Amino acid sequence: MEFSELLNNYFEGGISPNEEEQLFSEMAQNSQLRNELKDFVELERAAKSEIAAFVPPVESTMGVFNKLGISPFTTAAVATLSQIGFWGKYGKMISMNLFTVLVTGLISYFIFSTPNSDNLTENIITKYNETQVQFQSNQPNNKIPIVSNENSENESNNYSTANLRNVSNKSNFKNSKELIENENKNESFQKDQFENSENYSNSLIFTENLDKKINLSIPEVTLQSQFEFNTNNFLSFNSSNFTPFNIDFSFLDLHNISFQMSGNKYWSLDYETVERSTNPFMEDANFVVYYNVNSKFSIGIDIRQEFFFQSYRGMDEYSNQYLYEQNTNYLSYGLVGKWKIYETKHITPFVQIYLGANKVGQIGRILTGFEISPNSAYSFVLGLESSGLAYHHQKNSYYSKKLGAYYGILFNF
Amino acid sequence: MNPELQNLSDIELLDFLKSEDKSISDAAFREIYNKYASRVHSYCYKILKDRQKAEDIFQETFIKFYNNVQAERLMNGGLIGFIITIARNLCLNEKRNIQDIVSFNSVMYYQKSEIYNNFEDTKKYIQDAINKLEFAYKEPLVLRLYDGMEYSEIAEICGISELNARKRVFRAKQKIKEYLKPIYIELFN
Repeated sequence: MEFSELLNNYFEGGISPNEEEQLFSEMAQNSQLRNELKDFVELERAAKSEIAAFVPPVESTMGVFNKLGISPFTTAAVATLSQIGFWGKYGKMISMNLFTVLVTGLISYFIFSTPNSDNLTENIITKYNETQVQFQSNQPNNKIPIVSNENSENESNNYSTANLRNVSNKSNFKNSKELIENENKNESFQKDQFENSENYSNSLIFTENLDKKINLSIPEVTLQSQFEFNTNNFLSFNSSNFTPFNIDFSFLDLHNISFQMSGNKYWSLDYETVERSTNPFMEDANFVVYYNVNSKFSIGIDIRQEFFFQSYRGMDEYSNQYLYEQNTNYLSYGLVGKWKIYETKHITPFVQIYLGANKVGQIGRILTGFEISPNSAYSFVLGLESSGLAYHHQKNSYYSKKLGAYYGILFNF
Repeated sequence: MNPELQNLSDIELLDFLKSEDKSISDAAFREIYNKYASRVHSYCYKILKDRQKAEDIFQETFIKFYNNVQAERLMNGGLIGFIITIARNLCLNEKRNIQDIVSFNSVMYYQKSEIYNNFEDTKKYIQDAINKLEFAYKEPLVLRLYDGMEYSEIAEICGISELNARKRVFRAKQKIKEYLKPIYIELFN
């Protein structure tokens, strides 16, 4: 057998150890054989690097699937779809929408709810309906009721006591006397519950000069805005500044600021051959803070999580060419300029330009749509948005384009 | 690719492909396509010189495979051997209808005095040399080099003995070297 053939067989993995020894011994002296070895290597590399031979064009792939009436798209979903059922198919979409509604509702509630003394009273009563209420004996009866923790009470020797429970009626606080009286009548309030506080440490009402045996006409109570409440020693408040459900932005001039939460449904203008790489939380969602320069024009900052399908070619250090395709999730940041074309009472068409970037390139967008405003505090936003991502790989420029529906809610402070 | 189907054997995939549930058979077809399309494409691409014809034959191969799969049984070469055989028959039919034409550019390669300085040039010459081989040598070489087939599989597809397949591949490589010799001489002189 010639050494050339032996070399070929060596490449094909079909020679014995003895033949291998002969081959390498010959190769050490024979430069022509060494060149043949290089030729074999080159031949293998040339074949393996012929990308066009190995990668069927998209048109051919589509041709096959179209003629057979099969969707070329994958696969994972199709095979398991019948097993995962309705919730598996739509669960994520539904849960995302519910979450958005919930967040929107909470934000709306925090922003639009106003302080109200009735609400305040109700909340307090409700919240502390099982807490001891005590009226200090050395204070005027119409002054300072204190809501306190039983454990913090250590001056009870001076008081007579009664147990009050379930004072959760949503009456005005000014009627609390009546409320307490009703409690006494309607509930199983028993006079023998009046005992000296030295003997009882449960929830108790303390009154000065109270007939220990029966009389529950309780001290004269007029609960007004000057009341102070003590709870468990970690929170004290009074009604003048107690605004738990209203965010006070008075320290900022927010009259010209708007906040928008939006979702997007995009379709790539390139044929997507790969699925999304991940499915992150809040995918295809964005947040914008606008500064309204005037009634027509606003500028803002936009942050969004989104996908771009990218297809680009590259070459490795051995000059092998590769086709890269990816459908990657990015966090994009940008500046927006929004122009309201004209305003009506409830519907305002607008155009918005976006310039921004993510970690791979620059992004430009144009959004056209309209705001539907039930009132001046918030609007619903609907639109059509076109986005483009410009990126580079090995000094070549590529563009990824997509078109989508845009929907959201805009809050004006 | 479907992770649930990815690890199935060819026989299991074929069983799924024959399923009466269209969603299952479609998924199996997609998996088979994903698995073997590049190898079938490289065969058609290298055997037929006409690029467009190669694409047509490539598509037709998979369509014929899908339509006839119910009645077929696997060869020793497995699913890929079966599909390549379909492609081979289609290619042979096509070759009968078209005349082999060597492009002007191909001929001119040997008269050029380009410097043999990088792999891109080498690749171009080698690929062109493969295209110039006679069918009897080119086919085993393509099946071996591009499709990575074993000699037993090549023998079955080409209808020759395993030893003969091995000889043909070796001869094909020798012929490529002969084609490339003028370039080497030019380079080293």
